[in-house]
Amino acid sequence: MTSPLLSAPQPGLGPAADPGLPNRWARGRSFRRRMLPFLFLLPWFVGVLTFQAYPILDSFYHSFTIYDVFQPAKWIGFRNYVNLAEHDYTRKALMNTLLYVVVSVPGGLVVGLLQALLLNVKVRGLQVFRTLALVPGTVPVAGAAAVFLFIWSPSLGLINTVLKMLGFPKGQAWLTDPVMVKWVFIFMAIQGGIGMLIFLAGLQNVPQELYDAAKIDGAKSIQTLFKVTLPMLTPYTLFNLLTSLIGAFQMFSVPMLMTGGGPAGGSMFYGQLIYENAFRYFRMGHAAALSWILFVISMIIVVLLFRTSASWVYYEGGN
Amino acid sequence: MAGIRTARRYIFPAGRFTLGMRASRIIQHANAYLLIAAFLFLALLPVFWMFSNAFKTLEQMRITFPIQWIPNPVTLENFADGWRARDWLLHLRNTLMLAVFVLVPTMASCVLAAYAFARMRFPGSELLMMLNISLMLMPDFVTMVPRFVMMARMGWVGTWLPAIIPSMLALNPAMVFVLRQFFRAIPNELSEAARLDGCNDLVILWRIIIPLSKPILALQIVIVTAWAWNDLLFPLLYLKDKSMQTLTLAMMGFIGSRGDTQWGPMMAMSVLVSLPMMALSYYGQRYFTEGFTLTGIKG
Repeated sequence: MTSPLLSAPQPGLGPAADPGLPNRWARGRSFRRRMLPFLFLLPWFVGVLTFQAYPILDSFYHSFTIYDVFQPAKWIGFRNYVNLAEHDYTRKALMNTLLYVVVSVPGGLVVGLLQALLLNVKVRGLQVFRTLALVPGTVPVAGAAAVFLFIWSPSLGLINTVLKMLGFPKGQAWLTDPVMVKWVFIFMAIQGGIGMLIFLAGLQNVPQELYDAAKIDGAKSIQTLFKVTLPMLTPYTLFNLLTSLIGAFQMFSVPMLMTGGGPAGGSMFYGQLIYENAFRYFRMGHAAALSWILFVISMIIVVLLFRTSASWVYYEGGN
Repeated sequence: MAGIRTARRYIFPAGRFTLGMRASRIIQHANAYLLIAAFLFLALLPVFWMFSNAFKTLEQMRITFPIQWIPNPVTLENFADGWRARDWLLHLRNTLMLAVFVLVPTMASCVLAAYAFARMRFPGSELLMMLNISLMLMPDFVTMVPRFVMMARMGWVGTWLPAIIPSMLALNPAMVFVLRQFFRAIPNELSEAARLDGCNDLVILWRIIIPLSKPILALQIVIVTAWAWNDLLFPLLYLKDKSMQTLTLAMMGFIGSRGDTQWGPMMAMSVLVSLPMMALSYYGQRYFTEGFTLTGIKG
């Protein structure tokens, strides 16, 4: 706070420097003043150029090469892409990931919305409920992986015990069944998580006047939900949709920790495939091609979302 | 709490608060209570199970029926065994170092960039913000490999530099975006008044914008710390050395040593690793609902 940099008055702005108002304005828009935003943005610019733009171009180039870091890259044209399309494991990981995205993203969105609506009902003990609702999200990924390994375990697991109590005596081998295992991960991903918090924040921003007006007009609560709450939440819905989509396409920590992608690639998701190609087999070209395929798929979805968003997202004041 | 109080005042204007109404209100909210209870039960069940099993002996865990919710007798063996298996304090220290090394420079550079985007006018600002949003939506995997090769060429792998240097360069488009959203919602009158008093932009940022942005900044602290606690990819690539491993990697090795899975110590350590995050989220949650705003997301 006492730094001279912070307290030094802007030249041309101090009243002592020039008393005349028009003059002050004229000098305020001096060259230095105009350059100031770019000075503020300098770290951002450098970051975008060095750690975003260059890596993007580099990865695009290397997706057309054989490259193992130790030897110079060798140009092979579209061979990486062709190979990937032909390989079973790519298709499997891609299908697993698409399935995960298609089921868990909308599922998580709906669950998050319902949870947020529920935690927005003004009942006694609301703060306690909100705090409790956040507890599951605070278990670190590695801890959660350990717990869920235990819960889904065929012999000791809680799930099979509960199923047995409900009258299904034959326990499922959840995590060792190549078909079942991906559904376990998809199922576990259907939760509100941070999306719930974002919806909850959005609910605080719905003006009370709208609810009052709806009440005066005699709207039922379900009508209020669909005509007031949900439309007002649409910017938050779009944000949640975008971020959870991008996250879901890249998800691989929990399966990698719990099953390592197995059995038989049953829980191999796209992210782990990229990671293993790059850092286990040092097929950097392969990995680059894989990530570009992911990039293109997710960008198509994002652009479609943005294109349609004008028709369903409400912006207050437009801006 | 204030929220509840205002709501109550709104529902029960002064003088109309009677016992009968209170009873009817509880009945009216019975459905809400039931639903909240059901949702919390499902959500908290795994966490509860983790705590419960951390205090059980292996023999107790083997008894699957009837379900033993509260362990009886309670044992602390698992914590002792789990603690001895690894140098947890070292991994904790590494995790905290990662959090601080990423948090402090990221915050500084992102606040500057967000301030420029939110409160300064310059040619191309809209376009650059669009670029920022696109970068936010780009999968990390695209840049992961070239970045790693860059860092390896510079000999940074196995040091803290891969955490520090990109962080100094505002390499967190999501944070830039979210901070910018918050900054632009702060009324202009305050900063204009300060400007007429002769304050420059850095003073306005430091004395007006940052103090008013405490909720969103606190939220970013929580998010980055949670990232350091959870991330798998960054430590796997850059902090692989035993002396630099974070808690996630330590836990990963712990899970990986399966075959004769030591469920008890695993649950116990999961509990211990979770506790600081639970405390942090308790502290952070009250900031969230005020901190997050998307108004004017369009431009």
